[in-house]
Amino acid sequence: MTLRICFLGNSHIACVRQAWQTEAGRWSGIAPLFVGAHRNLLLETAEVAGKLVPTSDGAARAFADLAGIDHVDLNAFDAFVVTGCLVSLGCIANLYRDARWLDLPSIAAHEDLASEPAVLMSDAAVQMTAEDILSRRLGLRVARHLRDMTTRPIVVTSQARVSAVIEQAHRPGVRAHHAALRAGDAANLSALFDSCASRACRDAGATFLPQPRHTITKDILTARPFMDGAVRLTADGSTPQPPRDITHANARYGAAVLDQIAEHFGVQAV
Amino acid sequence: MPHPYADLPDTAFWKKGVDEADRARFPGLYQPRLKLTPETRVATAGSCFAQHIGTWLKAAGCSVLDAEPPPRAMSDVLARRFGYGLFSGRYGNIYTARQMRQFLEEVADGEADPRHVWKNGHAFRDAFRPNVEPDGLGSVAEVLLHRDYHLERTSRMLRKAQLFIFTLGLTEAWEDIETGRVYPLCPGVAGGTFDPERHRFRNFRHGEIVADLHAIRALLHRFNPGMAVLLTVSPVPLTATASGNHVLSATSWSKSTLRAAAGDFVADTEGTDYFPSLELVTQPASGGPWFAPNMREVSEAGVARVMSVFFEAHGMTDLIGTARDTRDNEDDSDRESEPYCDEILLQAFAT
Repeated sequence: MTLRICFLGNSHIACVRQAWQTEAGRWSGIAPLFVGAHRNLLLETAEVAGKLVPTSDGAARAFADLAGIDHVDLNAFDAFVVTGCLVSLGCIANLYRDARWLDLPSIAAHEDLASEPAVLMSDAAVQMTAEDILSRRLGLRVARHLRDMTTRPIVVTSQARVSAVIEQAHRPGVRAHHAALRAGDAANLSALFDSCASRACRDAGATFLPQPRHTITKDILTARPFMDGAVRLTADGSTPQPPRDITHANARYGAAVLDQIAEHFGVQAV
Repeated sequence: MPHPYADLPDTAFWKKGVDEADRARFPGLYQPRLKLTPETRVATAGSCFAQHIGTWLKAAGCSVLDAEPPPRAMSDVLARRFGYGLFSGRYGNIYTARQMRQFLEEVADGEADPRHVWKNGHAFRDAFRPNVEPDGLGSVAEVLLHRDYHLERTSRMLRKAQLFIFTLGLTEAWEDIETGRVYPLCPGVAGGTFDPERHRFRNFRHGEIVADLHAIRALLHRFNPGMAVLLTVSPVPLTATASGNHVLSATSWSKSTLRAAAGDFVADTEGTDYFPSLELVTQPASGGPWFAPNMREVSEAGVARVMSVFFEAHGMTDLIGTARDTRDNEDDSDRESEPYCDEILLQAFAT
């Protein structure tokens, strides 16, 4: 039996689509449609007579240019997968910039917590904040948007953690990652992300699939073999990401995600 | 011989100062004795109404201190639920002068006391701010750790403060007989268990409040000897009274006493002032009604009215627009905008 899956995502869908294009036969139990749209365009859609149709020119162009369609027949699929869409560990790192909590290993080493720029928060406040941040991320918004239109299974896959290249090369926006690695807090951040993303997805009527373990290094980074050589979300999928990009994964990562989805749905993968 | 009233300003006469005055602005009603600029480092505390003052000052770009600022990634709604950003510290509502005095004594010299940790089911609460953790914490030790942290952060904040704005809310409180500490809420309302052998009702009198205000100022000067004190009295009526009087009468008593105490304290004390938010909202001559239909919560228009008089008196009227624009930038039409008021929990018993 072939499972018909509609993949929806922002620029991070490119790695999954590229993996499929590279070795489609590996997932013979899956018949996919890839619907990519940049930024928040996936939300500029509505359900009309069982179809997901664009409600803006930008969304219509994205459907046409990137997937060659003008709508998605919601009844033509057995499941929906939302991929990327800022469901990332980055939101936990953002929280870590300004806050600490008692579960963190680094807290035990502090003699004067009040002198730290970051505020001490209760575990409950941290958990609720993390879930709240995630629930407002595009992936969860798209999941809720879909849930209002279909009863079919909806899966949200984790966006890849940032590239391990940051260990060797300076990149902006990852000071919290470096701080967590130095302080020994990375494993806690990783676990917090996975647990909060799971709950946020459950609340949205979806299932969260965490980042495949073998693609992760040092808890909060993605190993370079899964990041180097990523492509942008374009019609032909051949434009490389800028050299300094650290957030987009490559086709090898996309393949790991497809393996994960195949396993989740119990369909054949070679 | 001319009598003493002959040379008094218009504001001294009802006809000129009220009847024929611009009652949208009430010129001369508030003539600040204390200097406030956007650069003045301000700390706020007090009852529910104090939240409005802090919110408006912050939104106007004033330098309002925050001992425990919420993480940037935390939503405004969630931050408020956990007591962040409501006042200059995460101390929750401080309704009485006695509670303020005791809190400052604790910040200055004390440490968290396990006798003031309330247990309800599996949750433990800080009795002096029972609602900053909506679900409570996991143990007494965790409550004490967070309270010690809170005290230390507040201490550091107060050392920077140049102006302390304190909004007096109530004269009534419940006291722990053993320690003499008063709580913001009666034990049993939002945690803890009421024990008539351990807890007693207090309705503080004018003299006690004046003494507490002097003590507050002295304590604040231990953190910063030059710190000025601006008092206001919340116009928000009592949710409930344990005085035995009708709640309307108890409200009148409480607000009158607070107003008189604030006036006496300011009249006798350098580096202090009083801002008439109570008058601006509750005096019939002030127009209105500035209350919501339940006649208790001050309406948005009422708050705006009060703050416009405040800003104009301090020569910062041009910042008011900034305040509103900034506040309305929230991209969330469902956001909660009502002040967080512990005392409102008493309303639950009014069925």
